[in-house]
Amino acid sequence: MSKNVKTADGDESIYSVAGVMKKNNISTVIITRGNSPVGIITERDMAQKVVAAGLDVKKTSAKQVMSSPLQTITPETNVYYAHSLMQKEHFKKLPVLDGKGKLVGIVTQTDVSNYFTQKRKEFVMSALAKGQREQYPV
Amino acid sequence: MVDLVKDIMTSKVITCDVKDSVQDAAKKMRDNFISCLLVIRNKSPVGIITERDIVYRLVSKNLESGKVKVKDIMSSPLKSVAPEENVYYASRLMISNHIKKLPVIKHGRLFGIITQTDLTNYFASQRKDFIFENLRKSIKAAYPV
Repeated sequence: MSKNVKTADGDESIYSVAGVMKKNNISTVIITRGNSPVGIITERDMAQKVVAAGLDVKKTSAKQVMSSPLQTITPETNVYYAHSLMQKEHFKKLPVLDGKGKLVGIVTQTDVSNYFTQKRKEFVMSALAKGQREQYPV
Repeated sequence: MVDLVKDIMTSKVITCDVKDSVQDAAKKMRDNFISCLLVIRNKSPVGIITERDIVYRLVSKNLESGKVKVKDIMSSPLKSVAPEENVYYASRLMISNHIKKLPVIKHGRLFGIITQTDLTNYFASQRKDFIFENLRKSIKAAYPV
């Protein structure tokens, strides 16, 4: 998982959430109420639900646009389970909450895909003869 | 054999005009379930507009989506590849420029688009072919006598 995850309060404007994305060079912001994560906003949500609809970005709040309820996992969740959850629910990002419900990170489809690629490579390398290893594709 | 961009690209590319409003571009993305549009001026591809461009260059600046034109926030000049370029070159170009989509252009004409997802899928199938080929070899090598 990545620990570089940013939050914004549900009452903040979409304008402000976009500022958080731009400043941190990220595509996703987790929306909180109090200190609890309750929803998620992606670049896609902004383009589709705000800009395409012609909403005023300063008058539209994060909670109006966020996808909710939030599908979450814990740091101990098995990677294969996280992967199947993404496939089944068509999510590309899963926020990671600790036992107390505190946001500690985020896992993306890219993270999962890179993990599998690495695991597959290790497996194949261990099974291959030396001369074959150099030919392994990217 | 190394495959070429034209073998794995998507030929159907959705475009918009430089003078379209960003709001219309966002609608087009939404209605076609895509995250970017190629931007055309006088029949030539001149730029690309993504969901990220919309958030970073319009929403975060509180600009009005109905009034701002696509040309004001698009990414331009365009990085592109030719249809006969090999897929490894396309992959390196994406990595070195930190981009995920490359239009396929030759002599100013748009042929298609190739994305990071296309490349990931391609490499996954290459790996599979490689593994199966070498598995056969290992099995042959293990044949007694």
